[in-house]
Amino acid sequence: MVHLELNKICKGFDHPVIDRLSLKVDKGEFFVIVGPSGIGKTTLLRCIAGLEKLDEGEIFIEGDNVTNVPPYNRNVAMTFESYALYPHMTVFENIANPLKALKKEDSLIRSRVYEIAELLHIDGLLERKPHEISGGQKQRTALGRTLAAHPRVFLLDEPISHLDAKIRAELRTQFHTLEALREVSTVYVTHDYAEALSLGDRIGVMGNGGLVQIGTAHEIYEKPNSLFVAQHLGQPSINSLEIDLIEEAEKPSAIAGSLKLPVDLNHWEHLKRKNITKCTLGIRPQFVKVVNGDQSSEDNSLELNGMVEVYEALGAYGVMITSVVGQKLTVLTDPEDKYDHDENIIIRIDPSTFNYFDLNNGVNLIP
Amino acid sequence: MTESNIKLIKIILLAFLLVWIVFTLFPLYFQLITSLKPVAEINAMVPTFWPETFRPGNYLGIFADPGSLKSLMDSLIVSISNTILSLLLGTLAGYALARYLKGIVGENLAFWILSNRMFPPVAVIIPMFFLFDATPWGTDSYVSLILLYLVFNLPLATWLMMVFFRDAPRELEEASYLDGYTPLKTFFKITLPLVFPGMISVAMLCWIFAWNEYLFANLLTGTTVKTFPVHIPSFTQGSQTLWNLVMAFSMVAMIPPVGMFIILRRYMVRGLSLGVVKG
Amino acid sequence: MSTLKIKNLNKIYNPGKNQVHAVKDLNLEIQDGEFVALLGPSGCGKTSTLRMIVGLESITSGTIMFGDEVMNEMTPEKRNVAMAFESYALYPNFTVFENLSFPLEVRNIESTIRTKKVNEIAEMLQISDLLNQKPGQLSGGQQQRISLGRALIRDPAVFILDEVMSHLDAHLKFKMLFELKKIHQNLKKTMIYVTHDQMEALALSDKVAVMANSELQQFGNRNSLYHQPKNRFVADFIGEPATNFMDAEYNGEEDQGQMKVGDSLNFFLNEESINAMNNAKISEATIGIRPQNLSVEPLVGGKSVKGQLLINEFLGERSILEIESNGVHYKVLSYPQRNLNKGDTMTVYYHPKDVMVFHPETEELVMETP
Repeated sequence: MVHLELNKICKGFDHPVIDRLSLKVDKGEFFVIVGPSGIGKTTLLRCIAGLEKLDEGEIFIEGDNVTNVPPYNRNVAMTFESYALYPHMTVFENIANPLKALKKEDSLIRSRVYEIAELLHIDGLLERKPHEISGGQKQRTALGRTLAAHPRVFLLDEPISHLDAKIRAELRTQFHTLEALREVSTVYVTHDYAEALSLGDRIGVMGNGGLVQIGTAHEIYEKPNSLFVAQHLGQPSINSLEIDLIEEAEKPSAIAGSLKLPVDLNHWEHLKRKNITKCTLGIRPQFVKVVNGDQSSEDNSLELNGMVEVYEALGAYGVMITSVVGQKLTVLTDPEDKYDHDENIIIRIDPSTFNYFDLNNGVNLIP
Repeated sequence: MTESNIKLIKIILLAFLLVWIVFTLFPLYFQLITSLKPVAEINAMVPTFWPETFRPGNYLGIFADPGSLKSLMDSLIVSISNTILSLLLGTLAGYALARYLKGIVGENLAFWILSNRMFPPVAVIIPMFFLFDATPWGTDSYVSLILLYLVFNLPLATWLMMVFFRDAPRELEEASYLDGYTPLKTFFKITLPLVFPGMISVAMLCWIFAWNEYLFANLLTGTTVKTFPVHIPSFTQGSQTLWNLVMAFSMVAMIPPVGMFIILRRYMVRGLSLGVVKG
Repeated sequence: MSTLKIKNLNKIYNPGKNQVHAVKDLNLEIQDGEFVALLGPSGCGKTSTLRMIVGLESITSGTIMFGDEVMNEMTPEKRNVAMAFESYALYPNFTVFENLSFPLEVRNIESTIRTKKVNEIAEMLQISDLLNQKPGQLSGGQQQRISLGRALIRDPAVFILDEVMSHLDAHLKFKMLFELKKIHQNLKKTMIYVTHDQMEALALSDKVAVMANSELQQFGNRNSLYHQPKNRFVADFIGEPATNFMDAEYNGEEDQGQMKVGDSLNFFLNEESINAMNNAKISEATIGIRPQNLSVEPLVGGKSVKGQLLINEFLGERSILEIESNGVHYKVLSYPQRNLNKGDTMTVYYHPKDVMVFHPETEELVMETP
């Protein structure tokens, strides 16, 4: 059942920011919008909230056309990137504010605030003022304020991006388990692709005034419809090389400078049908493997010699920039491995993991 | 720069500060001791810097004239009413300018309002006199003086309140709209508490202007209404000015502004938005 | 220039009743050309330490030595230390060229040499085409590079970077980390990188000094911080996702060296830990296992526990699985697992050597005394 619907909405300031964007979000769905900063994600949320007037288009919530309804009558809740807690009110009063707006009874307000505070583990802080609590606690208070009055739509603007990695992980788990968010529809905005993949029932990648791709986490990560999506989702970013495609003796290859890579036959079928001779080749860093001596070679994969340029061992993985026949490739490795600058290594690539994108518009050439 | 150099500079600066404090506080000190001297000692050719005879009775002497107490009451009535009006109108106008009149029109209007403070007040004395003479209250009334002071206080109050409102984060108001409050309720519940320290500062400025104003009060009023600055010159005996009484009365007249400043200071120094945004 | 030695360094602010002991008995030795990160949460004393090394803060007690020369009384400009700031601190009315050449100008260096040096640095940092622009027209990453360039141009003995990446967004930060590492590989200068982000610290540095509560907790390379953290704080602070900690009981040899978590969850220890536990004579301890040392695929020589999958969190390159075994929750880092769903029964494998044991009171790693 469609709960929130955006129909060809447009919004611009000096230049168009949102251009004929349409979106349908179902009841109970957690929809994440991800995109680079400055692309208009916050503007989109503000349009849904009613804080910005649309230039064109319509917005429906539960079938009601709310395009011209002012924000205080929309029954939509939003958290701000800056939290926007009222500095002169205690945590209790902040959370109670939307309930007071509805002129609820005092006893009812108190029980609801306690209920929410317990849910978000801030019940010990209710008498504090916002400047007396930590960033994570502020975030929880802001979230509590949005949950308090049972709104029809939740809008969350970068709710956890200013916090430390540890608290971020903790709050992500909280979003996974918070049943209140599953009762109505939620639109969540972030620039962090991992957050988006983790949380979204569906994810929309925003770029150029609209949603470039909409799909589940696995769909958009594994089958990006364009180079833009592939580059934005993933860290380190996908390797992209400009290549020429040639076919010699039934064997198709991709040529970048003096590096020659085989092309998977299934991919070649599509590329050949479209008469592509030049395109951008995308290889995810985790699909390039460093060979450690005794591992047996798999059928389809190819081994190449490379040289380590820079290597950094992070916590969960290591990242290496290696030079392979004049081309630079980023490689994801096991963090326990150790590589020296200028060390010679052998890498293994499986051509079936390759992506091919149009040189001009970046569209993924393999359907 | 070495450690000892830094120390030397500190000492020089402190010495300069000390001289400056003596320089500014001396008139106040002289006023205080004069208010405690007998007339004869004041008129002595060589001034004394510590009273030879103490006359605390001067402070009772000023109230022998019933006009003294009334002038203080008049000053209070005029300055308090004027402050309340300035603050009320200035806050509303400032909010409108800060939130609704943006761009070239808003900037120009705001500047034009402030420019009212730029001409010398003397320039408008004659027109003002005739203007207020034509009103039903005449020149010599509370209403006239309160309205007249508004001419000078309102532009300042409006301008300052506009600046304070601009500094108050817009997002807090938006959060309140989404909580379900209308813009009017949001204004009273969220925005006003945010600019409260600013309002205190504006109130102090308006009040002090109205409390101390002499020129217009002297020309427009004098019989029905007589504020304390107008009353001060009346402490004479024949052709002789009783400086000890003048100074004693001035000391008394200083108590309300100084007292109020001490009480309200803690509201004024508090930052506008106390870590509202981020941490 | 040779080593940077810090001996028994102390810093006390407001000596007296309300004194704040910001740095306690810090000992650190940084070799010439080494890249060292000073890592810790805010308020741990890392900024005070850095300010004392630069000479912006007086030293309460202890010594700071560059080579054999004591620096305690030396003024900042005589120490030959360069610093890049979190806020870039570029002069907005100067062009990029002027910003870069300013430190040389102050030292009365000839203009031909200045131009030559600026061009060299600009080329290395790939900002040659920006030299005539003003900082205001540039992106955050470009400004950051100029700020680095301005510090590098003086050819300092020690190069200090104070939280230089914290304003950059994730993608750019990742790129800059590699550029900085390359710069260090080329210059081989002593660099001290101050940060609160453990990922940055691990990525860049040869060695990391972890500070907390005004004291140095551990000084070592990635592997020692990862596998032999001195105490629970280090184990928790280093690594993401965070280490799984569980309170456990230990009954010695009766249970063949197993740590009992709750009623029915047991973790095996390796020989060394068993010996250490027996020597320490404690019956309770906190065990810690890093999520990346747990696996849902069988490990050679590994042990296993059973549990239910609570959350399968897909993060692109990897997934985090939150698993519950008899009320105990823990996280497993794995390759993306498409076919696992909430409620599935899982077998989780681990190597006994990866089970770290922490003393219940001192919170220090229980280790065999050598």
